[in-house]
Amino acid sequence: MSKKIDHNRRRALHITSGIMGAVTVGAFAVPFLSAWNPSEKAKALGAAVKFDLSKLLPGSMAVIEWRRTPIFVVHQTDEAIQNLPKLNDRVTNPALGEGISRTSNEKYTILKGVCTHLSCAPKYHPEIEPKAWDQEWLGGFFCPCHGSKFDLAGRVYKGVPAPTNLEVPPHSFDGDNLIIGEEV
Amino acid sequence: MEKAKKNSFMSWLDKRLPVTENLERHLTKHPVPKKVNFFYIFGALLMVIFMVQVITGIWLMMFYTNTEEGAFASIEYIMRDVEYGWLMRYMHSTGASAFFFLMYFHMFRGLLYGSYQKPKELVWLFGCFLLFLLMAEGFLGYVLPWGQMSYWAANVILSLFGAIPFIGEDLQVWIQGDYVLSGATLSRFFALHVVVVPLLMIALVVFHIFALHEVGAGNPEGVDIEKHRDKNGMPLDGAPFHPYKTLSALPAIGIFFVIFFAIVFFAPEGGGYFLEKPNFEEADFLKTPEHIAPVWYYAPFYSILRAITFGIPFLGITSKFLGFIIFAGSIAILFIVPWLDRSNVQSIRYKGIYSKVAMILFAASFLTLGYLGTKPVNELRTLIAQICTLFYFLPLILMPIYTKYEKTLEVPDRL
Amino acid sequence: MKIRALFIFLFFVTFPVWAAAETECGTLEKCDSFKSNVHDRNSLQRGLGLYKNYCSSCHTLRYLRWNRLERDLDIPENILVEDLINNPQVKTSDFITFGLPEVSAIGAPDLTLRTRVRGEEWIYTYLRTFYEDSEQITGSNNLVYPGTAMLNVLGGLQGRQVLDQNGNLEKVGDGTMSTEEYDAAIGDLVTFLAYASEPARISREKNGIFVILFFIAFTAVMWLLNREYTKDIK
Repeated sequence: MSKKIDHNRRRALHITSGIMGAVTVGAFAVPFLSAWNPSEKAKALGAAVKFDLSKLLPGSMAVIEWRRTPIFVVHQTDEAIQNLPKLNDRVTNPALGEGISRTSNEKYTILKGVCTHLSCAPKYHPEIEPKAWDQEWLGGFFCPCHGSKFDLAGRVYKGVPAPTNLEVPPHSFDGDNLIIGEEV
Repeated sequence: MEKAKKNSFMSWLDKRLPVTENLERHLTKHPVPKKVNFFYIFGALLMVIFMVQVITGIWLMMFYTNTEEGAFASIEYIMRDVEYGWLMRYMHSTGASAFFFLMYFHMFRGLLYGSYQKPKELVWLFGCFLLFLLMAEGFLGYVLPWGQMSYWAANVILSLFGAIPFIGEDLQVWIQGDYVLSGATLSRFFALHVVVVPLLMIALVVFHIFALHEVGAGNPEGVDIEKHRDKNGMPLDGAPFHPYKTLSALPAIGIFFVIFFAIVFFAPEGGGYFLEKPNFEEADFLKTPEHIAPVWYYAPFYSILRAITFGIPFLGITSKFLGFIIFAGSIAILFIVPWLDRSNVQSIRYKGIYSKVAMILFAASFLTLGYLGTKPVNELRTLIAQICTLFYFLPLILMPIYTKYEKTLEVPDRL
Repeated sequence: MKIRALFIFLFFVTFPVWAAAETECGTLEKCDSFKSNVHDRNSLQRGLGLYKNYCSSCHTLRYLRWNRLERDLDIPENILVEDLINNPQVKTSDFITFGLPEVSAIGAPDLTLRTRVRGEEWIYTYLRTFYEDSEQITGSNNLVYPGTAMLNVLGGLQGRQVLDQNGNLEKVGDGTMSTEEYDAAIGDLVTFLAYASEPARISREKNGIFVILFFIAFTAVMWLLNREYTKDIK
């Protein structure tokens, strides 16, 4: 019973089997952790949505659902595009780097219809006329929950509960089509 | 410096939780026989497969729908839409068959080497309970995919309860939660399969192991290793469980996984025995399958059930109910084996010729019954099943007699 | 020792009996043998084409998504959308229903899992043993599934078959394919159906060997570790 123990060999074996064990645990972990990724069903439901812009008249807005969020697609009128720079000092963040309509296609503004205050749905008021919330209203969005105001490009006015501009979802244009969810 | 830090952490812990004491009692200072054979690996493998089933089962639960309307489609969702879902499903289904395979071999070792003899009767009892729970778990789990076989085999088993005199019909409706087998049954079976039975099994495994550790493991020779100890109190024929048995389990686990994953990746249907063909069709209560059979691991007991083609009319016992009684009896009789075996010797190696013949007859009957249970009945098969049922019970029923009076060999003192 | 050997022998002797699957095939004693190869993309594509042309007017593939075909069969998106789906209302992530109702009016079952229910060989033989039978409403009958309500939709490809006096199939008219071509085409179709039954099969058959090799390496390493310690107690 007094055989000599080769400690170096033992240590080498400990290390090798330790690594083997760790790799085995890692290998087992891969499928289980991957299973938590969005399934094909989730990917299908969350897939990009196509919308035909040719039917959308200037001054009107379409609401399209993407990943359970209402997306506002506004076809800006020429008047609206002219009015937007006038509001640069009435909004908290003029977002001048994002372009007039905040998209690559000047005519259309794509916004998530989710108020940046507490997630209510702002209402579309494109009319240029005095309103209860603004005597010099040049068109935009008004949130009925707590009175936040946004202009037609979704930029938030100063002095309202909402802190930031309405978010622009990833999107791209393909001919007459708007593709919400995919940025080319 | 390092060792001193570690010791003070351990002593902090030990004052609050008996960690070192139990590590020593159950692992590093727990003596087990040095020389055992491959039959002794199945306990460890059973614990591994239990963990595999629990983990894959938890993951399957994340994607499974436990309603009648959604169950079958959710299995295909797992197989196709969930990343690696197919792997989880196959591991779980192969794991179920592996669980029974290992269980039967584990119990067979018990029978061969008298692992149930005094003072290990409780170990055996807890083990028999675990067999019963495993059979329940397998049945409950098999209903969940809601395929044709899930539905119709469940109907057969539930109607066995309905066969019990007087209370049967009401009992069956109560178990079903409905006048017929339906979504109500499915959702309760889901709760039983996922929580109740596994928790009971974990508790019983703990008792099973504690009872074993209290008296010490056996060996194929049936030698009592405690009789001869060295100056430190360690049995001469024994060695500490850790590291000697824990390490020897590792290559065995490796070999097991080679076979297990060979099946998972190359033959997950198991030739139609692990995943049965009719179950790839959604349950249809208007269409009975040609051939309703339970999964292979219930086959021996199903065979016994079917073999009882006669009742006891003057007692008002139908053949169906008598079949149920004898079928239940074939599992129940296993519980009392420690009291049936009156031999003065533990292991088959040293028992007499009667025990050896009885063991062969028992094993051969069990295997034959298993084969017959997977086939449709005909006259010849029923006759053979009846004979095999007899030779399943006789070796056990006559055990008190032949074990007491047969001539045994002398058991050696040392391993 | 002898007893142990006997038990092991008994076990292995009975095992092949257990493992043998049912080979009954309707009125035939045995189905024709067939083994699909889901790794043959060309075969899968041909099978998909046959399915679209001959099966899709009655049989859905409800559990299979169109975009899966892009991945596994290497079908470009434009062909998928324009030729195969051919319906602007249907997204590539939708399930393959061909616009048919969920419950078939004529009792044509969904085929996604059919090869797993019946077996590949059953389906392979079934699709090749239709014969003319004036006593049936459909005008044809089948050796593997007598009285089947399915029409002999592939008859034009195979040619006409009847039963002779001994009950064996006899070819009495040519189709657009020779016997070998037809058998190969049905092989492609059954291969596609086998794929539809289990798309994951491609991945599992390809990667299984690595998992097994890994655990062989695992066993080897652990065996060395164990042997080192077992020396202590010899």
